[in-house]
Amino acid sequence: MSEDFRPDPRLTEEESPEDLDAEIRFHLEERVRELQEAGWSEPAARREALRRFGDVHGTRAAMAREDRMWRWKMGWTRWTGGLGADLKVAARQWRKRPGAGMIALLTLALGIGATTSIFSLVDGILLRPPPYPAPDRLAVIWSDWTERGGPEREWFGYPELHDLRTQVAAFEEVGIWTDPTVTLTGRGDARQLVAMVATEGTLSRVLRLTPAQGRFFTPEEDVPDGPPTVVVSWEFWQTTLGGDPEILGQSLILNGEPQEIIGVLPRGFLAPFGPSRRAEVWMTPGIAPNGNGRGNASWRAVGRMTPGTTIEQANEELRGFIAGLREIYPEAYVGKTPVAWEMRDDVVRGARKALDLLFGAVLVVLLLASVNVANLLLARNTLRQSELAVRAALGAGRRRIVRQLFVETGLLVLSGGLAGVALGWLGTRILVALAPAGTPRIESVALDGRVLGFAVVVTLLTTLLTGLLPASRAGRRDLRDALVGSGRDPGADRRGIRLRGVLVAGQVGLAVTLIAMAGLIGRSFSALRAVDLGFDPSDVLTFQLSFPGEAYGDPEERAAFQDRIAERLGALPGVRTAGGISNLPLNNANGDVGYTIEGRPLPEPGEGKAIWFRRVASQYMVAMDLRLVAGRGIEPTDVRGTPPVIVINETMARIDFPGENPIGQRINLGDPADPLWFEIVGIAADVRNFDIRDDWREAGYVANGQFPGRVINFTLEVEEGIDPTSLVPGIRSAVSEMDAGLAVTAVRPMTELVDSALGPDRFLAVLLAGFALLALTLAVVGLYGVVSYAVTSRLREVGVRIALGAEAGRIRRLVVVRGMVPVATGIAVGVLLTIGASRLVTSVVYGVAPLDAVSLGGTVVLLVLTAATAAAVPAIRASRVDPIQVLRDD
Amino acid sequence: MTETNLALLKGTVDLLVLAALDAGEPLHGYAIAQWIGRVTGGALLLEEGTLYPALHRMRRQGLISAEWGVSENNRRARFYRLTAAGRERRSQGASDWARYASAVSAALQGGGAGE
Repeated sequence: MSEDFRPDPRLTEEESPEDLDAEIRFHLEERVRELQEAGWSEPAARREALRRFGDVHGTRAAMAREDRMWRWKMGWTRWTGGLGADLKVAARQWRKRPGAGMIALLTLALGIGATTSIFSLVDGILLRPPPYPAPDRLAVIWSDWTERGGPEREWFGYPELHDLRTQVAAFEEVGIWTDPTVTLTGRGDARQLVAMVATEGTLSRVLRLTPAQGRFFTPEEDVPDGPPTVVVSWEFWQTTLGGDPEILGQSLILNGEPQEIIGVLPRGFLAPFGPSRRAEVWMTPGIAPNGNGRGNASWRAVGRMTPGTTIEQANEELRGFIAGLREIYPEAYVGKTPVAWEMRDDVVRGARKALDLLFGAVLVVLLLASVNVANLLLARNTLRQSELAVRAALGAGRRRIVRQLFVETGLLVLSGGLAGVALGWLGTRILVALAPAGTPRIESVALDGRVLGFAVVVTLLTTLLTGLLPASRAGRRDLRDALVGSGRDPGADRRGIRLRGVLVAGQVGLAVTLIAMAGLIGRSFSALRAVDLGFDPSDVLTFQLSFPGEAYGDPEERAAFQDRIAERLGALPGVRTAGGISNLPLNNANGDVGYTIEGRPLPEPGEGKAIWFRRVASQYMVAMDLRLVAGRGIEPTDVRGTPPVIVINETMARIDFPGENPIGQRINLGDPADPLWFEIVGIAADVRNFDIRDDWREAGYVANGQFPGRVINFTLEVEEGIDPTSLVPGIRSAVSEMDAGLAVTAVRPMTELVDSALGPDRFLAVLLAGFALLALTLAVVGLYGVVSYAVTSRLREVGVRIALGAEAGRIRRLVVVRGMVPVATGIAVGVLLTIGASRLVTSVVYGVAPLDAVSLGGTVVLLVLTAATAAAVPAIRASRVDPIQVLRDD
Repeated sequence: MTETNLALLKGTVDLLVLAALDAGEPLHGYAIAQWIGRVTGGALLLEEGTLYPALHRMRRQGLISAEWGVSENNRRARFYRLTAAGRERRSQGASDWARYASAVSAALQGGGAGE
């Protein structure tokens, strides 16, 4: 119980074994010398010296043992004598007034828990490097088409990637791949697999992959007519292939061709991005690098930079590379520039803003929680000032009392921190479950050691915030102050209330900002939900069929067969109409094709325009309620042999044919030198094809009957009141009756696609709403605490007023008005903060101004009302005070 | 050598060390052992090794302090000296011991010293 916190020098000074040895050696040698001087022979003298000394090893061991015991005992005495006693007192204190303790504990748990779980999310998605060796040197290479008005992240043609790989020195290796689907047959039901088709055997080297079994492709294997080989994923091997240990050398039938299994990927491996992340099979394309397709968009690339190369240097070199290619192939690369992104940045580009916003929100909540706890402790210690004064009078030093308070806070923070970590673990799991499908790297989100470390830091910060503030005030306390007037010092009370008022104002300000932001994001989300999609997703079921291989080689037969399937599906009970389309809207599928208009001059190279281009089959337009504005839709009679037709959208009609009737005009979707003319037969309403937020752009529908695709997404409009998924078994049997080799995949209601397109916005809106609610609760708890403390400490004054005849209503008003002063200040601060913060969310919101009067006004009204309610409760209590009781108590 | 040496009673080593250092001269462990042997005329059987744990313990109790220095024949040795607390304990211990010793010897000689 020493007041002296400096370590005792005798405790910290260690007896070093070297010193001890030296001392013992000195002793023995002195004895030997003396004995020799007395005429002993050296060996005899040594023996005698040792005999007299006794057990050398035993002595040393005894000393070391005693050392340990001593240190342990001293430490224990200090620990139990100091901390142990403090802890006991602290626990008693908290038990005595459990209310404040519980609120503080819950507040901390919520604050830390929310912070921990969001940090886990941010950490997993943003901060953790990609899961490959030496991830800093990995770069994703995109073809940037923004110069020609195209997307920022397009793919490449194979020939230029082959050139890039062999010519750009900034990359020691470049992996090139694409991700088609293939059909697996011969192993149970036919089904579609996501394939990773990687060329030149380099991707595994870029990612530094080691196979779990067997090997990867060699560059020599990836040639036209090379050996048909396949590498399978560990998971595919375990499930579909039953984990057969003798799997190498067996064959898989993919798209009707047998392929030899030569390797198995490591367990849990994930490719960088895209559908091939979880590819079940890896194959080689077996195509020549100098083939067709320069400037196409069908291949992806990821490079490993040479050590020491920065991403800027890589991009510099890429610009030089493309300039060189443009000289050789002037037409192919107009407005297309390869741009490398560090893989870590690339994967999360889209999610960054939203996560920043969430992180900001969570820090605000943590701050609110800390302030609340500080407020509670402050009030509590003020109420305890007479007790502390008595302790001081009984001889407890100031340092001792501060330490006691600190331990009390520490106990609270520790238990709050533990509860918070538990809550954080739970919260992380909930967040992962809530996260929209396709959130990048969501699988790496978990509560891990680093996250726990963050929580600990947060806890320590909270301890400082909450522990030091009351401690510093308690430390100032002196006995006279505290004991005069039965432990009530009006001056100190007033100072405390003022400080707490400032804290409440700060809380209200932060809460206003957070709630206004949440309101803004919520309004933005409902604006997104209300967007006119251009089609009606309700009562529509979709699924995909692929028609690969030689069996469907003849386009005419394929188209006829696809039509027969649609007819058959349309006749199923519960189905109104059936149709199909090459790519569903909102399915993240690109599909641009360049076009020219008949009778107009050809555009300059690179200035050509492109449309979203879809093949539609059968009754697609009817099933999706795609509105026709003029002319006719694609009809079943548009088959091969009849002149090609196209239905364009309103935007295209407006942009390309202002003041003209487009119907009857022709556009060319082929090479300008070898035109393929389509007659415009109708105009359809605009549809959100790629992203709900996208602006309208030119789109066109051609007849699948005339240009049959290999993949059709069927769309069935079901009768109202029928659960679309209940039709799935009927659909499967109908399809397999037509051809048992066809695999029905990606079955889902169209509404689900719309939902998942809204997913990220919903996630953000729901989370922010949760935080806003938390912030509001914390601010209200804080305010309630302050007002009710003010009432308690002024009971005497209130009693006097009532005794002098003040009406209850007047008392209530007085208390509420006083309570609302910090609220009003806080709201003003909050409005200013919101105005400042609104600039940060510009790119996140949709259909609402970033500084939105409705959400801000609503927030202010909400806060005024809740705050007034929180103040009203103690106010009513004050007005019911029995003056006689209060005055007598004093 | 006829063994009439006496085994040391527990706690006696501490007292002997305090006595050895009482002259004020800092001594190393060997010199302390020699001093004990000399003043007791070899009557006490001191296993010299037990000296060092005692020195260590007393140092930690703050009775003596230690410092490395150079011995008469120029070798590195640790020298001990009494602290103020050690001097106090020395005088306290000496008088305690005297009362204890006389009580014990009285009991042993007197037998029926009921006079």
